[in-house]
Amino acid sequence: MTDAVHDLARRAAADPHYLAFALAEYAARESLDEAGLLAVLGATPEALASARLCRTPRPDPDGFRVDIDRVAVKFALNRDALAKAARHGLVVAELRRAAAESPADVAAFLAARDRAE
Amino acid sequence: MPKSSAPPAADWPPADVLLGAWRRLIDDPDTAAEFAALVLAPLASGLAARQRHADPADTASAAGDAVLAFLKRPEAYDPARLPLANYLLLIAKRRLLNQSESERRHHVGRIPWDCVELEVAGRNEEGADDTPDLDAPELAAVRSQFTDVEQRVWQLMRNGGRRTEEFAEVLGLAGDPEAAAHVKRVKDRILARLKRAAGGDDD
Repeated sequence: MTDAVHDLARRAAADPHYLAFALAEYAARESLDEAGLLAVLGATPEALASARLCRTPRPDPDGFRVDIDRVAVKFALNRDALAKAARHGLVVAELRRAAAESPADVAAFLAARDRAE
Repeated sequence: MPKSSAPPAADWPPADVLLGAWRRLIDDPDTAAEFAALVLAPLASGLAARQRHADPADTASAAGDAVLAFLKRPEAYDPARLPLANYLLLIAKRRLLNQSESERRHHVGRIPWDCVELEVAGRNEEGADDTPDLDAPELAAVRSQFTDVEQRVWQLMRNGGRRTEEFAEVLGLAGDPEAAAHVKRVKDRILARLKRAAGGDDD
């Protein structure tokens, strides 16, 4: 796999359609650099690039499980870490979508969550 | 800005190999990286070869954008209408044009007014011709903001070029079924910028 494909896979992080988005958001939250993300996922650089270009798992529980299992098996990734990252990515994407549509609702949601914590 | 070096030429895989990869992608979206590895280099070098005026960094970026866009909806491609390589090149060309347009808007907003202010003699006198001279030296600052391809289109306009095919050739869109619309957009954009700077109507 060429450097250009690795770069492309990283660029896919700008689009929530791609699993790259969730992986980038998760890495940012956990303060993981590229090596850290590789270690957490137990991935080779090629496997990580391939996973990044996969579609984000479906949000429904059954679809999510099937999609995560498939990607984890196909690219030999740590299934639990991948699921955690993907779940985080789904939440972030949903929050951003909601923020764009109704910023006040998101602010109220985050405030309520902070109070609950 | 200095231009980066052109990407090394890369040949497209045979059409049947490309179509096979496309079919695999439809059946199994997890093969996206394999597909990207197959098309990215020839797409970038093919685009650079057709858009010699463009910065290779821009053509590489547009090629990447095109592949990412394609991967999202590979089923939108109809092999009966166009070879896959041409289809990808078409998307990449549009991405490149969009990039140029965004860059142009960015620069237009930064032109200081005193650079483009005109003193048109007799402008408000009765009977004076209100049509601004778009070739006026005072508009050099605006023209200097044109991209390479816009410069060539402008020269062609000044030299009386009228045929869409001539402009399409300059834009690297020869044979593109949507060339006429692109040509019109670029010409209108150039005229609007010059007219706006000269103080005339911009539509």
